[in-house]
Amino acid sequence: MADVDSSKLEMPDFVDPGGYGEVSGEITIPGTVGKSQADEYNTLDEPVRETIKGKETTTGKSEPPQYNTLEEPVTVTIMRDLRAVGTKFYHVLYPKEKKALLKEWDLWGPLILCTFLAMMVQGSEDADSGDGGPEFAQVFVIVWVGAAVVTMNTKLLGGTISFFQSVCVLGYCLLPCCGSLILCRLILIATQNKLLFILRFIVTVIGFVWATFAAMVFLGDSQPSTRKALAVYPILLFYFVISWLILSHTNV
Amino acid sequence: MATSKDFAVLDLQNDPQGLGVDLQFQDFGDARVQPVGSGAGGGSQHEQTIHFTEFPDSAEDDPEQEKLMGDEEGGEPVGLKAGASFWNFEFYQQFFDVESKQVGDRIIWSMVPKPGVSYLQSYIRPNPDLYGPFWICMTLAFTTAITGNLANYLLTRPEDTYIWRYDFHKVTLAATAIFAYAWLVPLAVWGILIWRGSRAKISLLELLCIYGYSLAIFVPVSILWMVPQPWFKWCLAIVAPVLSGSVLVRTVWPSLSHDTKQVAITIAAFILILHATLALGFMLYFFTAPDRKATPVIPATPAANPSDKDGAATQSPSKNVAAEDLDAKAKEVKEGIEKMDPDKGDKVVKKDQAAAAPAPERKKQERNTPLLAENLQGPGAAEVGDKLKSDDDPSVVPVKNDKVEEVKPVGESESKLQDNSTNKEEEKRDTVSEDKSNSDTLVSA
Repeated sequence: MADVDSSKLEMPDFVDPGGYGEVSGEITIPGTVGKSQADEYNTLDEPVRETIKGKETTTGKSEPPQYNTLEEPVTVTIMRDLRAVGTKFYHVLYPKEKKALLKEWDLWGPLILCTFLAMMVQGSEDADSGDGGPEFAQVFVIVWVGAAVVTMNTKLLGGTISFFQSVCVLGYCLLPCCGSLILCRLILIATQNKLLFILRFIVTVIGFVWATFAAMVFLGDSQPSTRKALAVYPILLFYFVISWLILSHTNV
Repeated sequence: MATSKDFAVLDLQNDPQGLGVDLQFQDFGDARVQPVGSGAGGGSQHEQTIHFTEFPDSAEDDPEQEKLMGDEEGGEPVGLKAGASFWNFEFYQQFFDVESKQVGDRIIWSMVPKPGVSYLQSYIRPNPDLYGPFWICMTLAFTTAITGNLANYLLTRPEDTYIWRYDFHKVTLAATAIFAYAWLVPLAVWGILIWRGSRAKISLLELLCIYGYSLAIFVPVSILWMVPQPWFKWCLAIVAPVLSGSVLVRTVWPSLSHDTKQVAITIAAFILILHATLALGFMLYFFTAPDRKATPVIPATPAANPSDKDGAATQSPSKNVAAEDLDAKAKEVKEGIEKMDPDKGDKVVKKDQAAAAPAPERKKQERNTPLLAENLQGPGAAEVGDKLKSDDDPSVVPVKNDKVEEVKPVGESESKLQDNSTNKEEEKRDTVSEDKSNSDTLVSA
């Protein structure tokens, strides 16, 4: 058990579920957590199985996945993925458990959130309203290239998280920002005045702080403590820019 | 007399055999390591890894050595570390080998020229990094764009005659200007130093690092530039480049000291001028709004921009401005021609629509034809200020006709073009006011 855990922890760049402990591989007692999860895997429970998409070969236990996507109904496959995305959304909103997003990363959630954000925030095509907002593609580029750059920064500073895990976390933590975007759009329905602008500002700030805090919870441990501020600042800047895009979108 | 087993000195005297291993290790180490190492030597009987901790101790002596040699010129320039090839990830990790506190120190001391201390020696060496320059440039790009938009908003808010819209293109523009400055100018300075034969007192990596950190002062300054008082803005625009420019020049000066006084001063002045140009360019482009009445603050900005010919940073804003002008004119010419054909009574109304429609589209034209804009800028800038309120529109037409020939018969729409094309910010507000003035001229004509 301990051997399996430690061997896994030495491969930080692999796309491994990391289910046997902390992603950083440096910190405490991975054995106990891993052991309990190993027991879960051994019992072959369906709810646990759904998060293991055939990646168990890296666990060293070499158990085949208990489902075969070719032979099951399409709805079952889709519902499994949706449930995984939904679970991650829940964990972003209540960031208590760190492993949920990192254990099994996927990019569906970030794609959904990014598309929604870009559609809502893009400047209008009418020349009359004269909205100077970003194009759809610009928002996409900001989100994805921004997440990639922040991840590269984390890795260059010596972080022990894998590339896609970090992009996954940054993408999922857009959820509070999208929530504040929806609220801002609702507020924009009314005739605007100073008070409503302040209200929108507060809502956006709350979304920004929540997103940054959630991202820090998930990504914070992967850096040594002397460089934590260096790794957190780009995340802060990333969500700040996205929040600014949300706040300055005044076109209804 | 301590009886702790950790003190190998005591053990040496009492138990030579038990520390035969230590004696061997002490042979390997430097003399200065010995008194320190002996403490750890006692524990090292069991694990050799402890001896590796002695080497960082010897690193403590290096700052002392540097101080002995003098602050200004001690130490070697730090280039790329050997052992990592371009294609490894570790090659790039060597540029990010900093701690949070180091970055904080570097930022603060890049803004404040400390008299007795060489910024380069104390804070940059031995590990110049690219984390600071990159993220300071990114921060500055977004901060400038955001505060530039906010400054526009604050300047126009009392008017309340139109819905303010923000300009996302400021981000791309600011980013281009800043990154060009932060990466190309150090390259140029390094080239100059090599050309003058400075024997590489300062490496390219260190120059990039220093230039990157020198931009850090503009982040709070760009926030302060939102205050609408012009004298305050000019104060900032002078103080900020002086402070950070002085740190820059003091850092580069030792590399120039072997050269003749004149050349050294020229190069130092060149560095300072570029830095000041960047600051001025930012202030004038992002934080100065044209006057509400569409008069003559406008000639200030196109006139100021051509004067900054030596600043790479300001050429892109001025090019984009003039490119906008040209494209806007072209569009409005076409619209004007179409609208001219129907009944003369409708012309006033249709011209208003023609003016309003292309004006917001101007934002989308920013990316085009910088080359043509250069030709236009000279004659255009001078005339623009004169023509804005004049009713002698046909008198102006012959100058523009070489660019827009088919408009010769369309005298009135030309005037509207020239009026509209001078605005690069606050188009909506200005087109509204110009429509009123143009409709006046049309009625009177």
